[in-house]
Amino acid sequence: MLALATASFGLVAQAHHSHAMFDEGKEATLTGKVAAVSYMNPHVYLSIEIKGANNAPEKWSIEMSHIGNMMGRGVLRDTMKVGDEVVLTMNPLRDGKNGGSYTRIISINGVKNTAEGSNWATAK
Amino acid sequence: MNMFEKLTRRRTTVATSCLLALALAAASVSTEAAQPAPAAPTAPAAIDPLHPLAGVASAQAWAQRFRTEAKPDSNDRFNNLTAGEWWNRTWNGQWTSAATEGKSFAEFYKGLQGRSGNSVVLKSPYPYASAEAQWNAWKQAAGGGTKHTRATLPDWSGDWDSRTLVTGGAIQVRDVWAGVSNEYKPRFAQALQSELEGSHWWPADECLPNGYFRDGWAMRYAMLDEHVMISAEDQPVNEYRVIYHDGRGFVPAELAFPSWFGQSQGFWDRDELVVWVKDIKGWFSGHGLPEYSDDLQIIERWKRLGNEIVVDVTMYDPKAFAFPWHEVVVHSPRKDWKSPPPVHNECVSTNNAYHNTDGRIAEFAVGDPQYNNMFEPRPWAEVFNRTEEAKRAGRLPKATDFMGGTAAK
Repeated sequence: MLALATASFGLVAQAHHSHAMFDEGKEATLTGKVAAVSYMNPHVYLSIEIKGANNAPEKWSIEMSHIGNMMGRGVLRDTMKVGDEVVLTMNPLRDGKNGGSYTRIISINGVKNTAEGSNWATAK
Repeated sequence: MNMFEKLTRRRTTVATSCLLALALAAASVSTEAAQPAPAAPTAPAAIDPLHPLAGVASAQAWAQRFRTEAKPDSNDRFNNLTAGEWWNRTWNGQWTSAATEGKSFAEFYKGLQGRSGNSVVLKSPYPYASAEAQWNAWKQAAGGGTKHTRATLPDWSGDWDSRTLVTGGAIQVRDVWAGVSNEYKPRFAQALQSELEGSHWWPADECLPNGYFRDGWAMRYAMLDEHVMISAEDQPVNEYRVIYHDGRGFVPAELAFPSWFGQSQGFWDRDELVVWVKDIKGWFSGHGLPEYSDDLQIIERWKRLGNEIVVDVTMYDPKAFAFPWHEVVVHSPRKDWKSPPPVHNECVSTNNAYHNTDGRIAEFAVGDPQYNNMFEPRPWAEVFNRTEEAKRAGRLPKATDFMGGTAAK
């Protein structure tokens, strides 16, 4: 499921390219199942399968930060595994394609994130 | 405020490029004649040009000598933005968003104001006209150089983080502008304009090396009898340098060629390593900084001071620079070697960023024929399967399955 909203959320990160292709003025919420995780530099990527129009499955590729930043934010290699149900927010690609730059993980398998900003933490 | 700002990077005809850049310089960033740039800050006095690091208490103290503090200049055409702020305030495509909201470019640019007038002294404090002259003066002052054995070489072991002043973006753009040659100013104006508009071009966008400005000094050092191996295990790509310090000299001119980090020769002045770098490939790192040319030559003086390593850097590029530049690099021990752990980084396998036909950064996404599927663990198998499909379709000649059906399909 994809939901769009206007937001002023900004993700400050070091990256190997500018983020001008992502619309920082929009924040979309993506709900779906993890199809694959690529835990590599310069960007960690998440492949998510969501229910698109008419409930047809849609693959989305979500760009995250580099491994150093992701470790610092508590997102480790096994934080999200294939098959996990995730809810996250992202700045979508300006050209409308199925991609975006994550801003926050909201929940994984129903466990809500208790951390601030782009960090990940669950209630102890 | 932190002492340093830690900031982690086409072919057109010359005539077209210069005309466009000149137009941009005139129309968008205003003109030299209409609004003279403030004078660049001058270097602090009382630096021994032959032994500048003698008596220096710490790497941070040396770097601090080249920091300047000032209030914002209301007449600054660059809005008191540092090189770091120039890209960091525009890299999310802020102008595109502002234009969508109906703002004019003038309104958008007016809203981009730097946080202070603080800057860095860019002009070299040394009285030399060329890298060769500086090298010769420093070598003579060192009595031809100190001969070390492995036992007496300084200890540079460990894991380091490096921070820079100028190339790290702590300098005001107006001071960088003053340090760019008239020949290269139109190119710099075009680059600044492009970054403002969200059309950044950073080498690593397309998995190209970052070049000297961003990766010349870092991050791990192997001190050997005849050379120092410098490893920059930074993302997006690992890079390395070799500094020979055994007096072998540069390779003969007929064998030399421009490369990302050029070739480095060094001698020891007691516990300080003096390095001459030349044959550097001209390049552009973006991030509010200008191009440098193939003529760039660098003199470095490395010294371990307590728990840090300082590198005093002088850059000579008479084609691209208006005067010799100065830079300070400070290496501090990494707080946690395993976060992230040492790793070989490359960029190609996961990259989907590219510059589209409008010169804007974009990404190939799921469904695009050019999409780089980094989730495919065996990309070679997909290539093999293409060959199989081509044979079935008759585009390639049929071949006997020599393994009798064992091969994966």
